[in-house]
Amino acid sequence: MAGLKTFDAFPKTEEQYKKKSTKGGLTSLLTYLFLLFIAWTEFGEYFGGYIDQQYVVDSQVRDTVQINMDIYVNTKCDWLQINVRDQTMDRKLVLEELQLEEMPFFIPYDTKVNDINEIITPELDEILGEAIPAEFREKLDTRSFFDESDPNKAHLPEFNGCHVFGSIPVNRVSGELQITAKSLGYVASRKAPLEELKFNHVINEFSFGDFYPYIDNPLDNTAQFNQDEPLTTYVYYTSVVPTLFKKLGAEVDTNQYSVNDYRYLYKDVAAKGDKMPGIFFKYNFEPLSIVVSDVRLSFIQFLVRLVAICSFLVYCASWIFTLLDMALITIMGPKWSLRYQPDDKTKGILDR
Amino acid sequence: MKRSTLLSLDAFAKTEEDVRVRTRAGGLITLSCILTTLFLLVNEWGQFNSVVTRPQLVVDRDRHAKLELNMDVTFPSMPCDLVNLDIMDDSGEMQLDILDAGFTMSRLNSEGRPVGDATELHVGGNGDGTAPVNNDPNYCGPCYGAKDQSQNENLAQEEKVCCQDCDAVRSAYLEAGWAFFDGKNIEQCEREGYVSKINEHLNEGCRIKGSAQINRIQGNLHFAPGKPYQNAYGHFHDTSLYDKTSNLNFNHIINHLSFGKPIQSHSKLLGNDKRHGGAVVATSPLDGRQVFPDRNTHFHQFSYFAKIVPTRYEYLDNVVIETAQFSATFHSRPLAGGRDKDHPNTLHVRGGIPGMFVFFEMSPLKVINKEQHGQTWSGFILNCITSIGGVLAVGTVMDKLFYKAQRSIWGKKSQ
Repeated sequence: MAGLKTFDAFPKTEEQYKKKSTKGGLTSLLTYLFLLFIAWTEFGEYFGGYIDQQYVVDSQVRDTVQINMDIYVNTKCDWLQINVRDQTMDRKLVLEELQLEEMPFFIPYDTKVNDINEIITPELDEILGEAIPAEFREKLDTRSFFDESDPNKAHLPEFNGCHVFGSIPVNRVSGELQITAKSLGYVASRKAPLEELKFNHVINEFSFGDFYPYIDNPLDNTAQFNQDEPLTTYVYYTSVVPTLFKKLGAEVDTNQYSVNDYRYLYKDVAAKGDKMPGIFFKYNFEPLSIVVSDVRLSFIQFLVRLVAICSFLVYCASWIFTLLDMALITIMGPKWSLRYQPDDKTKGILDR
Repeated sequence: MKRSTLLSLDAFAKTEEDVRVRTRAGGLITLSCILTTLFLLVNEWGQFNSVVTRPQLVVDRDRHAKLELNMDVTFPSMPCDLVNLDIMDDSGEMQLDILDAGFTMSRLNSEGRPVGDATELHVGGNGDGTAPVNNDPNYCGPCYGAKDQSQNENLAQEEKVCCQDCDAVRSAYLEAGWAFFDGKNIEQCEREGYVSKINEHLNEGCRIKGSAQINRIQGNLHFAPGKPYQNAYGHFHDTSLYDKTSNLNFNHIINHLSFGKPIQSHSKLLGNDKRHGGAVVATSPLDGRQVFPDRNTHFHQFSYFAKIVPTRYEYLDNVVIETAQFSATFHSRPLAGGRDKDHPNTLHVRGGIPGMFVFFEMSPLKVINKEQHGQTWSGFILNCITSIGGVLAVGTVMDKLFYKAQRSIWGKKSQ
């Protein structure tokens, strides 16, 4: 067992042979404080991880995707017709799956009018905080909120709008969501009078995939309003990019989209007959998905890194201390040494 | 330079050996430090040798080049004699009835077992010359009204309008837009045994395997029944025999479907999906897909919409594979159109050809998956030094703690 001593690569020096000084102690204290600070930031970095972005081709064979919408249209619900046409040539009767409520048309406060939001990729933590799934409420009879038998009808609002909301599954191929009026583009039993149609609108929510109402999309809280030309064709071209956010086991599967918007005046295109007045959302799904994930080092790697940084700092501090001490002794003399200042306690017998 | 000056510059001051204390605890700590260092160095070496694939996005510049299409599809309720493959794209290029070139077809019995190849009889094919012909040199086969033969009496033998074999009659019917069915009562077809063979095979299935070249633009490929023909109104197939045989359908198993060079061809990749982060899956996401709806799908169209992303794999051994990944969407509809129980609020379009369609379009972006070492040489050396330094630092601290603890507990001056 005594042979173990020979393996000791860390031989100690007896205390009596060591010289200590208050300046050395102060330097040590500062070094330890700095080490604590570094360790704290390293721990923060370890727990925070770093953001890694990858792009993958979706290997899952999908059939449908959900469109979530909440729109105010400046036309009575009776005259609206909503369809989806896509690459498969199917016509989806969306009107049967959405909720339509009569309402007095208005543009809510804080809505961007005749403009769309800046398109930004949200932060990972922001998404995880806002990814609260929800469902649309049931349809309400909005007219029942007002007493229509009241002789004083002056204060009754005019129900000149329609609140269209709900989630609809559509084929996951390029297509178009069409909000038009009855008999425009499709055969209908009733014909909507052109003078009663206005396609001014407010988009409160327009998103693809699972419905997360708190996640902002480029078209959320935007409006298009043209008082002079109510019969306008509004077209939105959207390109959808599936995006998966991952952090600490939590996964949020969303769909970002970029958008361009165009408008055509009915009087300009009526002769051609190829553009109906209405609101049209053209969508296209990109094959590449973005995977935004929070990545962190393994614990062993982190420990090795932390120890290496701390030991390097201690080593650097001791070197700086030694070199500074040598410099002071060389330039200003031994009495300026940081390492050893003689006092009564440390004086030898012959020095007293 | 004076020796004393050099001495004063020595930052690595040593302590005399006779005032240094060595302990057993120090020895144990040293041994554990050596073992820990070895473990960490082996770990670093493993990480240095690990191979990672880093994806990179670029704009695809190879738009002019052709793209390989590889497939292996089984139709359990569709005889090889009737099935046809056409490839069409937006440039107007058509590859009609291409199963005779680059594809092998295996006939399957009702249990799905192979019963022989299908080269001897294929409705879309042009015959292989083995069928018995009429040996009379003056023989001019009738076209049964599909072609005008009224002037034949006044013409020389080589100028006569004739249908010498079953395939010629079928082509004449196709040009006239007539339904050919199974060729019954057509002398040439009866003589060649075509009628009996095709009726014998009507309860069989077919497995089609092979490859073709497609242009890198939007288009579609489709398996459909009967011989294809083109006219001013569009692209059609003679589905007459299919229409009257109600047990036929395009229920299918996609054993393999990919675009570009198969990634599995690289020996390293076999069974090594982890290394590519699942990229192998995305080159053929439809593999193993079985479509057998629980309803009559005789008049039914199955569609896949594939968005192709050109992909290059660059390996460490300088092997480069140009291939493609794709994402797919599936859709099916009855040819009768209207609503169905699966989609109550959807009006399916009416008409079309029964079959299996793959609509493809190309992405302008290209993914380059590049193999790299997990670390560079300099990174590896730096990490090794870091590991050694870190372990020594921890060892020093632990040794000091042990030494001080021993001294304070047992009051030992030395050990």
